[in-house]
Amino acid sequence: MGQSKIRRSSQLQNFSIYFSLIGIFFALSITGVLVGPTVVAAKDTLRLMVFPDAQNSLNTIIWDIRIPRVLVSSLTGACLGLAGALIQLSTRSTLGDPNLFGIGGGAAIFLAACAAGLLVVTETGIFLGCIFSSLVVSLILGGLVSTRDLSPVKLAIMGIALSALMVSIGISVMSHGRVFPTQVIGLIAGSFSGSNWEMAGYMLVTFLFSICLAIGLCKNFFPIMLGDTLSRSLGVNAIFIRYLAMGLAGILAGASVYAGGLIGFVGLISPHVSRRMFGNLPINLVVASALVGAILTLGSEQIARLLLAPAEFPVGLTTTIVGAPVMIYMGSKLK
Amino acid sequence: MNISAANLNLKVNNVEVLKDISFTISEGKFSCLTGPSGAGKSSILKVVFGDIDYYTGFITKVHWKEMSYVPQNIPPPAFLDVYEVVSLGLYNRKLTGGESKELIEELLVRCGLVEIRHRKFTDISAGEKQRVWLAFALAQSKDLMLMDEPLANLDNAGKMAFFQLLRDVVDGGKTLLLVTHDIELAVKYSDHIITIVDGEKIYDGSPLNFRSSQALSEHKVFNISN
Repeated sequence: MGQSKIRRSSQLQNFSIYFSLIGIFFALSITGVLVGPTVVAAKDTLRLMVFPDAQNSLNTIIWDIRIPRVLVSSLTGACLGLAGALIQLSTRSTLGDPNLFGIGGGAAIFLAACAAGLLVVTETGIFLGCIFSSLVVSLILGGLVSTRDLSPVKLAIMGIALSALMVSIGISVMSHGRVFPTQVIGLIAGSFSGSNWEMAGYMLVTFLFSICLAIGLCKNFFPIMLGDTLSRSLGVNAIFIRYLAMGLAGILAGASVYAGGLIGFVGLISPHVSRRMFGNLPINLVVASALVGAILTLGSEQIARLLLAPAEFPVGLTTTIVGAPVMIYMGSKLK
Repeated sequence: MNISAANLNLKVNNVEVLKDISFTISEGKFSCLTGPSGAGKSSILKVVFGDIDYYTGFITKVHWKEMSYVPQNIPPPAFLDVYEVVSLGLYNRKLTGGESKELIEELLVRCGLVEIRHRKFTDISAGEKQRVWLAFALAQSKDLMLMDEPLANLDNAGKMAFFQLLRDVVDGGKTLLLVTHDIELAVKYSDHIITIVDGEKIYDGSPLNFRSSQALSEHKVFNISN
């Protein structure tokens, strides 16, 4: 019999872990701004960060490329981590991930249609379209598994099938529209090269809106861990909460695909890493998953951007190279 | 509050699971539902709890705030440890931190869970899991407790101890409806026995008359040694 691996942390321990995570996050953010294919002296970068100078050509690199990329990639990661936590907490599935379950795929199809020229919309339209299409998929998935006491296995099977379907529809649409390969790869494997301030703004609004609602839902997640019948005996309508959480995960997944394409495994891993650090309390899982998701994505983004600089490879590749073995390990531990 | 059922009929996939069942569970009593597997005992509990709503007939409606339920086959909560599962029984109860802690400690002792309090729920034995669910139900401290074979995986000494524990809880003012296969213990500890066979009620009364019941011997359901 395995020993308990549950952490029982004190407030002080929790605080110091949060503090370290925020430290790592800032270190990665600074790397993202200071280091890049164009060598800019750290002194100049810092000066431009404090005193923006529109006349200086380096200003564009710092303010219009690097800073938006850091913001967009970390917010996207935070959204993915939060979405993963919401799916895992509301469905009792240990494998919950918005992109593995096809929720992000809804937005990918919408983006594919835009890229193929089938839809012509404004930037705001693209953002809203992504959110709406993922929301629809998440509610369909929620409906498929809304029976009382759904089994996590059932959810995983349906989600993975849905995901395969979404990606193949997306690819079909793009091949029909003869979309430029870089764009296809950016969408299917994830890329932040198109980041801008408008995008960062949309992501920030989505993230703040969602985390506030998620924190409000937290109180209901603990009973759901005992299944739907026992939740009801404790006064929690698990099916209703599940729809809310899945809907919220849909909004987050749609926004993340809008900003970075299909980035796998961040939503899956973040809640597990958070649970190891903070234990089972839902409020900690929700907040820490967002933070861990931001760190994982921002870190992967630095690797994708800098390892072969000036060439870039898709950020989703890094997250998958880390994530797939973790998922295989978890699968081997499943009872 | 008494729980009354009148002319309950239930069909699942066109099979009659309950046939015209009527009974009354009296407040403050220890009632047992017995009968062979597949007789419809669990279905009665589900109807009382409200998990099944497609029956015909009458059943007293009870609010969730007034009843706890330990079904069979509870999906095991991944990640949670024993202490966390028991403390979830206090969800929605207005207790201070100190009161909660004290109550949980007491329940861990009463249900013999002190040694395994920090073990992961998925790592403990079937009998230990059942004791955790008992503690979870007791923590809720609801007036009506519904339990579906909560003791099936315990050894005989454990079962006896738990029947005694449940007896004490009922004597403390709770109402209990317990589905059980342990006729001997039901006769010894409970106040009221209802026996269901093939969806029909064949016995409803005091444990004292249970052994001599004509209906039971006709059905040859139980080998009761007198």
